[in-house]
Amino acid sequence: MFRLAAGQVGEIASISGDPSQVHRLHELGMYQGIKVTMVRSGTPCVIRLAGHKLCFRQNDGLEIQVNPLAGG
Amino acid sequence: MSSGEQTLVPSQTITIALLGNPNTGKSTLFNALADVRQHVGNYPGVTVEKKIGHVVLDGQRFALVDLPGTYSLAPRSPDEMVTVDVLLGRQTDVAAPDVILCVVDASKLERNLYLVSQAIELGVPTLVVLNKMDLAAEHGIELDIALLQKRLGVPVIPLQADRRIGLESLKQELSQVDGQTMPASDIPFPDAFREEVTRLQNDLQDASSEIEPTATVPRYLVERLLLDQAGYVEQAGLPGVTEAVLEQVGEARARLATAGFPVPAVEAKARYQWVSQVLDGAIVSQFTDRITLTDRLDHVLMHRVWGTAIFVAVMVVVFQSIFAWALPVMDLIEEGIGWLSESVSAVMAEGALRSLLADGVLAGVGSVLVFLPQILILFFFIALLEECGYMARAAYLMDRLMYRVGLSGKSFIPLLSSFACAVPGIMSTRVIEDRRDRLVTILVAPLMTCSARLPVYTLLIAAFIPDRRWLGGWLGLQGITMLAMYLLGMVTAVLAAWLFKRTLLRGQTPALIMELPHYRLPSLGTVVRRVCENGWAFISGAGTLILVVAILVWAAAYFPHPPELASQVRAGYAEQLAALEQRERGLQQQDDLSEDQRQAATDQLLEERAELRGEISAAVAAAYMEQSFLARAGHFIEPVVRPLGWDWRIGCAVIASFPAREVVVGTLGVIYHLGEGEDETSESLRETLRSATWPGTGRKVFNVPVALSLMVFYALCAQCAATLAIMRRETNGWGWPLFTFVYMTLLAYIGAFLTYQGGILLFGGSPVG
Repeated sequence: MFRLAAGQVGEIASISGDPSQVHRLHELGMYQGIKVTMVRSGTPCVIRLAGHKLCFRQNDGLEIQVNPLAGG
Repeated sequence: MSSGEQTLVPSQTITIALLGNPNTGKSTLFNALADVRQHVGNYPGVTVEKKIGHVVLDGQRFALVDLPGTYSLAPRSPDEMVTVDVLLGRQTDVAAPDVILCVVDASKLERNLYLVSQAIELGVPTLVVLNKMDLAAEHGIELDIALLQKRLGVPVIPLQADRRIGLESLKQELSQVDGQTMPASDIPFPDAFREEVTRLQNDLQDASSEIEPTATVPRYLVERLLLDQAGYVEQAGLPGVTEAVLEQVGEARARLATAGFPVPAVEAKARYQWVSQVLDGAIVSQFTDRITLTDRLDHVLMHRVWGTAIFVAVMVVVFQSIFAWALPVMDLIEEGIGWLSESVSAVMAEGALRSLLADGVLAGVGSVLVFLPQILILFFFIALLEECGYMARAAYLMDRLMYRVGLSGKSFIPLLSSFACAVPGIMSTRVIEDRRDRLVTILVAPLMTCSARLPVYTLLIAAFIPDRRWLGGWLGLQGITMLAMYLLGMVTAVLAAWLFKRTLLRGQTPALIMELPHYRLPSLGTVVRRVCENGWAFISGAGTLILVVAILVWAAAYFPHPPELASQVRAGYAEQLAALEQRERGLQQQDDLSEDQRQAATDQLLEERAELRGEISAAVAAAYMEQSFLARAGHFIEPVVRPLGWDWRIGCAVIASFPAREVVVGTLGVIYHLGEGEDETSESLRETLRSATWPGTGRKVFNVPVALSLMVFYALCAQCAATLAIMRRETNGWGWPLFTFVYMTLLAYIGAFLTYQGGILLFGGSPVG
């Protein structure tokens, strides 16, 4: 996920790691199958999903797999 | 406990709980609904603010409970548990809610309905308020509200809280609340999950029936127990939650995982499935990928270079305003208090009561009020920046920097504010959700060089640091010393934060996950309200305590106050006074003087007399100070402060400055026979300090190492009752303020010790300059 370039769109394949962080992401609308757009890459990064923007920082306790989608 | 089935008598108060995501305009709605009378306090044992407002509609009384903004009802901490407990009627100091008013951002329906899906499971009648309808329209979102209402099974009211549009229909809906509006649809949790919840509920019942046969755990909390790995419900002390039951929870999770419904993903799946069922067809149209004003603004404001530059500019303005606007008002408050205490002294007879009023109570009130300008101005800016949505961007920009210290970008503004004053800085840490981050920020905030340290630095630097300049006057030793003091505080804060994060408040650095809200025009009403709330929070939460400390220190400096001491000191001046009177008589008898000469001689004598009077009253004050409990304390601690190069008088002034650092300047004035009313710019105080000697020797008390050691001590110590008092309020206990006092005093002592001993090695202990 953190390898997405700015402007690239991807679909969340899986979120794993620290359960409470995974849970938090779920609550904020980030879950398997949702489309995300990388707005600003780097650390912390800014992503857009379902009409709102989230800012978050990569950390060891969280693993997010994304399938990059063509275009976007 | 739920009052769903209870019939409502019109005279009874209906309790409404306001629930919603952050940035949904919940507080705006609260303020629009409730009248001015509000009850603000704390829930016991946690740091959550309890806010209750009142409103009367059609003769029916309503109590509005404002809950903290939250994305979900899955508690991870005691603070988050409060929200769930209030909603379930388990919080004993708040009436069980009759209605949950769920405020929803219409432009972000999908995520907001996640919370709604949890709220309707609580078994309490629910109303959904669709706020920010204008913003939704801007995003091209068109909603079929009738269909939404049918799908949800609860009343749905569109609203624009900031412009008070739709408020009337909400009020109407509220006055028709009959306790019957219950949701129509169920959350599509898989059957396997439901069975596990039922089984667990029975287990809990069995486990608790032996001890508390009547206690039951609401089904929603059983669900949470199963769903929230490492959640707070496990530790919340629910009846029946034993080690054995927790083991069963683990087994149930394992069974669910093998059945293809792993925890916690099963919750997200079920709830978002429900959300998409509810929204299917209810969202008539929606622009995707539309570039909004927020996007365009973010393009600049979040830019690594331009965004950072703008942020720095904003901070300069904020900071400058605190100094430019607050300092004159603070001076005014100090002058006003000074005038008041002089007036009190003028009309009252000399004695303990007069001194208590003038030097104890009024000085104490002054030391509370003097913080207000900075608090109000800082919170004006914080409220403004937060209301318009910029705060999250600031946290984004500063995150990289703060992450290196082990904190998040959200700690930046509280720490920066602490350069003006740690009190509003600590109050502003409420934006930091992570408990550990928030505590570390609170613990290191008092190390930042606040404006109260400036008088101490100014006095000592002007008196003892030689005015050497280089580079054509641009670079001066005095300026460098001041800068060094600022840097010392900052570097120590960084190191302390780093250390705390690795020892005391150890734990995985939490992922910074933060919503970036849409920009909007801040409403002046909300900003003003928040400024007032914070001002009041300080006065009510810390004011009394500061006052008490000020009066205690006054008492220590005043008592035992033997009445004969004044006449003894005066007797010592009797000869000088008599000599002066004799010269006056001599002048009257002389008749060979011209009118001008006589006038000049009289003036001269009057001046001398006034000077002598001043000297006598200063000597009396000093004599009383020397026999006071405070001085005894100073003598008592002298062996401890000797290695710092201090004499008992400095020790005494340091103790006296516990209510507020700047008091040390005035106390040094009294103790070194100068009378009160000396300030840091006074030439005579500087002179006196320079010439003070150790008793019985000609050795000077102050030299460069001593001055530096005192400055370093003040850079690092926690000599500020207001900071400790506000810390107690924000952490809801005495533990952390005590810890802060101990660790900072230790640091200050070690720092001062090293400075003095190092200075002696370098300068050889002789006065320099």
